Amino acid sequence: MATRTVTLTARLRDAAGNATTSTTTLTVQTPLALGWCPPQSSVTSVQAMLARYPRPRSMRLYSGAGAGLEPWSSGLLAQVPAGCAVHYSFKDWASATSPAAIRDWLSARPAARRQVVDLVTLDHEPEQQNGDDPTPAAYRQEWQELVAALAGHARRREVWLVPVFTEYYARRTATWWADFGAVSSYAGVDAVGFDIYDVGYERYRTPVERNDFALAQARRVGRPLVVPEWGIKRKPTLDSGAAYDPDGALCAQAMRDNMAHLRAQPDVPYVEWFYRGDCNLDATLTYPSGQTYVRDAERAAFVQLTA
Amino acid sequence: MANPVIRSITATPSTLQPGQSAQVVIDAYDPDARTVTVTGRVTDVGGHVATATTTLTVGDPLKYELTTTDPAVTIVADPAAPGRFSVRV
Repeated sequence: MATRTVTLTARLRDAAGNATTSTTTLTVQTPLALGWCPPQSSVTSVQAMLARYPRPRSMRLYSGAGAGLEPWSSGLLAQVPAGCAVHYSFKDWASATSPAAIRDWLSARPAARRQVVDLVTLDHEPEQQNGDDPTPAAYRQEWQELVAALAGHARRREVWLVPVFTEYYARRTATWWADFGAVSSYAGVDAVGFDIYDVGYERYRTPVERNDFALAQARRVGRPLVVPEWGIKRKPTLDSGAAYDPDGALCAQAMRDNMAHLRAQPDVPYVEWFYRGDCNLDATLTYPSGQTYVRDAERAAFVQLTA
Repeated sequence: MANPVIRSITATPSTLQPGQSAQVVIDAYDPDARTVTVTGRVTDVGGHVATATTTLTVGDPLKYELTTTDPAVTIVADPAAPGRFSVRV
């Protein structure tokens, strides 16, 4: 259950123009929104997911390198229901032109979306360094320019600026904070994001094992944690070859346990299941052995968790 | 002329979930206002007298505003009760 504080300002004036003001606050308790990343960042893929899950509370979409910023009026973002928060990531940034472009983009946000706050990420998972990611120094500079570009924008409060990191990399790399993580402490950053998988673990992690690092990093800078990519690949066998979770029952329970843990936190407002690749709960997948499988148990858990 | 004085702002409830509404009441007064006491006196033919008093407050009309910078919040003033607002979060 995440909370946000709404500040109300009362202002009184008499007939002569003498005025006084005072404030009070409301506490808004927001249940954690569990949503999804569609199998592809395409209009047809979003529409297919909306047919399966017609009332998502959050959705994660992205534009890859070279794609610029998605417009609000057509394409991907136009598919997002008005009451559904979108976590939108983009990769392109040019110091000369992007500050004005992102300001214009926020100015064009439809008025109908004002009932929700949307999340914006530049260069998600910058640690990958796979060709379309900036160097650590460039990453920090781009984020400085992004927060500066939107500071003072009249509609700034309609979006959260959220750097998103790679949990397994950050946890295992001593230089991560200096290279990338420090961005989460910048003024103007609203929340801290981590993409979290159980990569490199023989068994499913417990909820505490899976989330403790990300929660600690967000709390280190006093900001909420969001998880725009969460996925657990089914692990049918242990490293020895012995059976571990051949039918996905353990994975389904791990999903339920994880959400129960995150929902118990006071500062985790958004999580999106990575409904792609091995975590596409509607796909027919193939084990390394060549045997095919579907993730019925995990899909049932997801349906229950998003109900 | 002195500024108006806000005694309190009360939100009921003060904790709520998205989509719910709170009622917010601003209790305020104008320190420049003065009170006038008016006494009514009635005498019958027998000379019996009865009196009663009431008070009037003479002051500027106050204009109440309630605002927030949160774009997800809607504020509606109650036209029947100055200083009372419905706030939807």
